[in-house]
Amino acid sequence: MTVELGHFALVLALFLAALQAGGTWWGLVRGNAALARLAAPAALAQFACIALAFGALLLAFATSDFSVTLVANNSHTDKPLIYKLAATWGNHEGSMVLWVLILAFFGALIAYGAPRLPQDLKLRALAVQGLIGAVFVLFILLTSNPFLREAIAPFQGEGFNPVLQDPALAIHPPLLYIGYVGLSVAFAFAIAALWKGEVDAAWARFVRPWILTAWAALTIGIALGSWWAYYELGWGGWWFWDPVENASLMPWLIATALLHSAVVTERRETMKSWTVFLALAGFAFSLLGTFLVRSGVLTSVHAFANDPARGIFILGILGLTLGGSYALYAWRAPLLKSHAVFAPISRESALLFNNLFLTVSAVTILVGTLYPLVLEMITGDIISVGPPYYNATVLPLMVPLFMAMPFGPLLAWKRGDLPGVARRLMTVTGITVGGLVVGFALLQVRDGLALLGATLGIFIITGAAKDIFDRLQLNRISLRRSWNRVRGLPRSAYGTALAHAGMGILIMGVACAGNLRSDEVAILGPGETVSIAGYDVRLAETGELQGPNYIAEFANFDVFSESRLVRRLQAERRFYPAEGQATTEVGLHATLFGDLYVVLGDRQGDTDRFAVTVAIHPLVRWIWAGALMMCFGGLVSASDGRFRIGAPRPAKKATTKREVEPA
Amino acid sequence: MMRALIFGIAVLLAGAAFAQALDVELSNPADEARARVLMAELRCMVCQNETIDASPSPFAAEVRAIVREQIVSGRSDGEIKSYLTARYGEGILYRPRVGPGTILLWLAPWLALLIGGGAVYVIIKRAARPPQDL
Repeated sequence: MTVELGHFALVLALFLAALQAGGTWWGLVRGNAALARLAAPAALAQFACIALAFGALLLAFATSDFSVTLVANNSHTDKPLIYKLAATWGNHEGSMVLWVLILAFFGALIAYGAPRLPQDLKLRALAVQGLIGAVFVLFILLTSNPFLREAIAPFQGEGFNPVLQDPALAIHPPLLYIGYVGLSVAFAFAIAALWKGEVDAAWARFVRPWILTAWAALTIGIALGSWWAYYELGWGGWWFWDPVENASLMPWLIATALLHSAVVTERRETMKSWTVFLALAGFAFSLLGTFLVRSGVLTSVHAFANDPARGIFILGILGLTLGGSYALYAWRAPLLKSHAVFAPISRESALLFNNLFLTVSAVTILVGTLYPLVLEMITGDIISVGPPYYNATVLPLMVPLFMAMPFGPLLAWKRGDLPGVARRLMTVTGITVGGLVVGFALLQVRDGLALLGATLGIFIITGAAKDIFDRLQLNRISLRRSWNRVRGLPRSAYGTALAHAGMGILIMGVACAGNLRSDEVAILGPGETVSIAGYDVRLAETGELQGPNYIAEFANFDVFSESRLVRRLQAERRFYPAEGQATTEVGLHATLFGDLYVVLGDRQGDTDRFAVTVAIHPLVRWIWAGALMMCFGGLVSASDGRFRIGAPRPAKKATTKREVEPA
Repeated sequence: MMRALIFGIAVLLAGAAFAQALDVELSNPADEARARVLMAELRCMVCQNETIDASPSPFAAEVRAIVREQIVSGRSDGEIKSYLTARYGEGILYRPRVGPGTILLWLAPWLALLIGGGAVYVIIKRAARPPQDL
C-alpha cells in the first residue's frame, strides 16, 4: 500500500514540477505575478511528494517487500539493515529517485532558503529546476519505474553485489549526486541569467556557494570511491581511469574550472559568458556522469540496445539539455558584456590559465572515454583506452597547472607583478628544493615521477601556507596584531589555502603511492614469515568464520618491525551464498607514511598453506586526506560571510525589492 | 559442512584470487621489471577493466606467462605487443597504437589545448586594452 502511495506521490510530483516550470514561465512571459509566484510553493510541494515517494521505497527495502520487483532484484533478508537501505540507491531506478529527491530539495531551498535572492532571478531559476525535475520524473515513470510489483512475490530476494556492501560505498552515490545535482543549480542560474540577459556580481555571489558545495561533495564522493576500491577490490589500486570513474572526474574538473571563473565574475564582473558557458557544461557533464554509470553504455554498446526506450530517452535528455542550453547561449550570451581591463600578468589571466588546463583535461578524458565507443560504432574496431593514455595526456596537462597554483592567489587583480610574486615565493621555492634534496639523497627515491609529484606537492602546500602567512603579515607586524587579523581574514582566503594545500597533499600521495609501490608474494603456512620494507609478516593462524550474510576463511597475521610486534591483522576471503559471489577483505596496517597491505590468496590444495600478498603503499593515505582537506576548504569558502544569503553587500539591496517583470 | 562448502567454492572460483602466487618470476630482475611494466599496460580481456598485472583471472595468468616467455626468448616490447594483438585483438593494449583509427584520439588533447590556448590569447589581448565601442 505504501508503495502505491509512493508511486502516486511521484506522479503528483510530475504535475507539480510541470506547474513549477510551465506556470512560472507563462507567468513571467505574460507578466502574471501571481502565477509566476506559484513556483515557490510548487517547489516545496514537489519536494514533499518526492520525499514521500523515496520514503516509501526505503520502507519497501527496509521491510524486504519482495512483491516490489526492484526490491526482489536488489535485496535479501539476510543483509544488515544499513545495506538493505543502501540498496535503495544501489540500482538504476532507485538512484534516479534519489537524484530527483536531491533536485527537489535544492529547489525548495532556493524557494524558501534565500529570502534576499532577487525575485526575478529566483523565479527563473525555479522554472528551470522545475523543467529538469519534470523531465527526470517523467523518465523515471516511463522507463525506470521503481514501484512496479511482481505478480507473484518471490520468497527471497536476489541479493546485492557483496563488494558494494560497504559503508563507504553506501554513502558514495548520495555524495556524488549532491555534487551532480548541485551543478544543476548553477545550470538553472545560468539559464536564468541568459533569460534575463544579465550577469552581475550579485548573481555570482548567489551561485558560488552552490558551486562550492557541489564541488566539495564531488571531491569527497570521488575520494570515497577511490578509498573503497583500494581496500575492497583486493590489490591496492585506487584509481583505474575506468569510464565510471572518468564520468565523475569530468564534472569535477569542470566544477573546479567554474568555481575559479565565478570568482572573476564576482570580483571583477568579467568572464561572464565564459562562467555561464562552464555552468552549462558542468551540468551536461553531470548528466553524462549519471547516465554513463547507470545505463550500461560503458560496459558495452550493446547493453544500451537491450533497453532502447531508456537509451533513447537518455539521449533525448542529453540532446535537449546540450542543444537547448547552448542554442540559448549562442542567442543570449552576447548580451553578457564584460568590460573589465586586465593585464596579461594578473589574477584574471592566472585564472584563465587555470580554466584552460582544467577544461582541456576534461575534454581529453571525454575523448578517451567515448572514443572506443564511437570507433566501434563506426569501424567495428575494438580498442582499449587505459591508464597509459591518460598518463601520457592528462598528467602533462596537469604539471603546468600545479606549477602555477602557488602563483595565482599571490597575483594582484588587474595588473600583477610576476617578479614580485616570484620573490615572495623565494622561501617556498627554497623549502621545495630542500624537499627534493631530502627525497633524492636521504630517502633514496630514484623514481622521476614520484620526485616530480612530491616536489610539486611541497611547492603547492608551502605556497598555500605562504599566502596565509603574508595575509596575516606575520613577519611584519606584532604577533598580537597578526592574531587580530586571523579573525579578520575572509573565510574564502582560508578555504582557498586549505583546498590548495589539500591538492598538494593529494598530489604527493598520488605520486608516491602510484610510483613507489612494492609487493611480495609468498606461500605461507602457520608460523611462516614474509618480509617487506622492514616489516616481518608472520601467518599466526587460519580458520573459518560465519558473518551475518557470508562465510569466510580468515588468516591472522602478526606484524613485526625490528623484532617487535606492532600489529595483529586479519585478512579474509568471504563468500556470500545469497549472491554466489566472493570478496576479499584485506588486512591493513596504516601509518602516516604508508600502508602495509596484506591479502589472503588461494589455499594451496588441501593444506593449511595460503598464497599471501604483502604490499607497501607509500603515502597512500595522503590521497584521501588531501581530498578531505579540499572538501573542507570548499565548505569553508562556501560559508564565507559575503555569500550568506540575507547579508549581501548594502549596495545590492536595491535589487531585492524589484518586482517581477515580464521577460 | 562449512569446510566442504568453502572447499567447493574454492574449486568453483579456482584462480579467482591471486594467481600471481602461481606465477614464476623471471630470475633476471631487469627482465622481471620489464615484464611487470608491460603487463601493467595490457588489458585483461575477460575482466571488468583490470590490467593483466593486477587481474587474478586465469586468462591474465596465461598472458603473464606468455609475456615472460617472450621476454626470455629475447623479443622486444613491440614484438610482444604485435604477437598479443594478433592473438587477442588491439583491445588488449591499454595504450592504443597510433594508426588511422586512433590518430584523432592521440591528437585531440593537443588540438584542444591549441584551440583553447588561442582563445585565451585573444581574450587576454583584448582585455589588455580598454574597449572602444562602449
